[in-house]
Amino acid sequence: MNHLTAARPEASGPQPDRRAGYSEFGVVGLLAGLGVLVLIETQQISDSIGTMRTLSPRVVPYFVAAFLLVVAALLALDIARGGRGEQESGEDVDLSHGTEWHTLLGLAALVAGAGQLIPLIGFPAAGALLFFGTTRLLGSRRLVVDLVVSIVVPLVAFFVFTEALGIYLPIGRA
Amino acid sequence: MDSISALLDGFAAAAQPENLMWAFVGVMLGTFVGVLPGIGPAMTLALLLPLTYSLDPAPALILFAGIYYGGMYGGSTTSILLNAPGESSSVMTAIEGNKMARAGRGAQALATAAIGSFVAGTIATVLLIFTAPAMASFAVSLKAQDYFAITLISFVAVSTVLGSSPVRGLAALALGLMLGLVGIDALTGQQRLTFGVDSLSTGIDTVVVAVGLFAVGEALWIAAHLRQTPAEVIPSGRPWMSGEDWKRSWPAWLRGTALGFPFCALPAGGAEVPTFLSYSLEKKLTRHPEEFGHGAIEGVAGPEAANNASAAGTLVTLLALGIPTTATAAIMLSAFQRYDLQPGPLLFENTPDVVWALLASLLIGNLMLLVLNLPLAPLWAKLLRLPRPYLYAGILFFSILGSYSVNQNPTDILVLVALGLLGFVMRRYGLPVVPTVIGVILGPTSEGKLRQALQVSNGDWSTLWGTGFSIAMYVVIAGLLGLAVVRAVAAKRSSPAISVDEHVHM
Repeated sequence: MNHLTAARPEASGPQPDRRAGYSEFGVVGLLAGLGVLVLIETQQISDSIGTMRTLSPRVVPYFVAAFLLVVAALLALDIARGGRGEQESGEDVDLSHGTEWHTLLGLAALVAGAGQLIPLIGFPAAGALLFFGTTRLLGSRRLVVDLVVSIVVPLVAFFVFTEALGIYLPIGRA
Repeated sequence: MDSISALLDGFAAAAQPENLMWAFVGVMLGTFVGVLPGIGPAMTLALLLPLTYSLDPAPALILFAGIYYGGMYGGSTTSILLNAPGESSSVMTAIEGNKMARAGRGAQALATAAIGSFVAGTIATVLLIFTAPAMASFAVSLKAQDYFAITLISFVAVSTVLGSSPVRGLAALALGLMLGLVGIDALTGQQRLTFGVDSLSTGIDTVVVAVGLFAVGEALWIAAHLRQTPAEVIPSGRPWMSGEDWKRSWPAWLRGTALGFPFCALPAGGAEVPTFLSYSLEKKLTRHPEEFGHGAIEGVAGPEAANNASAAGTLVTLLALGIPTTATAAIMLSAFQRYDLQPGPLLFENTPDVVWALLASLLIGNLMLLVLNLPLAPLWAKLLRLPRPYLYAGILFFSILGSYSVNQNPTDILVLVALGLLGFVMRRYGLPVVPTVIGVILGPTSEGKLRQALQVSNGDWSTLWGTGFSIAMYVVIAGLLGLAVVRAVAAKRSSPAISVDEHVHM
């Protein structure tokens, strides 16, 4: 879900510059790369047994691979003709400065890391780590409030899910 | 009528105190999460789906229905007071609604949205109750190749009709179809695209896909471009309307309902087109053209009614055909499948008690929303001021909660992050997310129907265009693709004007 900012033409973002135009071809590369990957992986699927008179498990993957490659070509054509993807705007989004890579990668690492920690330190602790790390990465500097919120929210959520709703979440190997 | 007695039984089930409580919880939670800026109904559903995991089918679907309607209601509050529509179907509400709020008429905008949602939701749910069984009994006569054609039409419609660039819509669909392939082939039991990873062999769970692309992708995208100045929330009191407002609103509600329901009852539905049509229609018919663009109440009443009516319309195709046409419907489908309920022609025959309790609780939930939310609106508005670091921390936290509780598997969280990064890239380069979600969920269905059709015909592909219905579907698909080509060529020639397409790419 995004925030779609209606009736605010200025929110559609600055015109993409030339360099941003080249990075659009990255999407073409992604689509084409995935197409080739699906093609290669599909070779591993055997279609011998019992599939003669119906749909072999290879047909749809081959179709998807071809679709990815065709769409990659069409997109390359569109970009070459000057087409640009419209960056998503929104009320909390400021497109006038570039991507903050350290925030992006920091958050991705944080989510991935917290997920791996769940079976080890339990859901409440891993959730609190994720919550606290996110507030700090997003620039909140009220240390005490951040800490309290980061501990209370995961704990409350944990008890609601495990006690009231009967959904299992690990508490850790302590 | 059969439907009426079945519905009364449904009401009896839904009115049990326990089920009423679940409807209440769903409505409150749905509104609460839906009001949060940037969270639309689909993301609300995806984030709250885990709540239902341990419940029985009927209470779970009742809770879910409440969340759905609540999430839609919450989204309109956000659109009006913050100009931040959470989903493309609220864009039209935001245009005039936010102008009204700026002109000090926020209370009236909220009132016409809330009452209009109730009126449209109620009428459309009643229509749903009468059309869905009829459509289901028609659908019984459809063959596998017809269903296959219907899935194709959904793919083409969702990726080329909406959004500013059909090519990017198709690219998003291709990504979704690819993700949908991951897992064990149903016929031969072979692994496809799993790269030897064990936990991928059961496929990527719908919740992980939806939460990853919507919630994590959105949080990452916004976090990397976070505006440093706080967003402007327009204060507004308790919703109310004057007699004049009522007089201007009710025809718009009815017209919006009339546009919204039929559009979304088609397999190629989606709320964007009817809300846009409703807005243009109200603009044409109004006696106060000077107010449009400065906060005209009809411009809120019509699209908001169309939006809610289309929500019920979407359920017609979901319940009667088992085909989701929007992201929200796709997530609802996965909720059904968790309980081994297969939406489709036989749903009404096999599990009438669950379906009718669900339909009855849609009506009850709708009434609850109106009664609760008119007085609670100022409270919900306070949520819009939630500091952004906590908002996005909360979204990420509930994302891992939901995704982890599906399979209790840390690998799912890695998949979640990968999908979140994909969602980020898609937002950066203008690829819409909805076709991907539809591709993941409907792709395997489509393959299954194709396989079924070929089994019956002993592998003869000409069976695919062997029925009149399927031929009609292919004609429509050809028309949609032709339209997309025309648009792609035209977009090149004229510089993009401000149109609904510009903003519709969720």
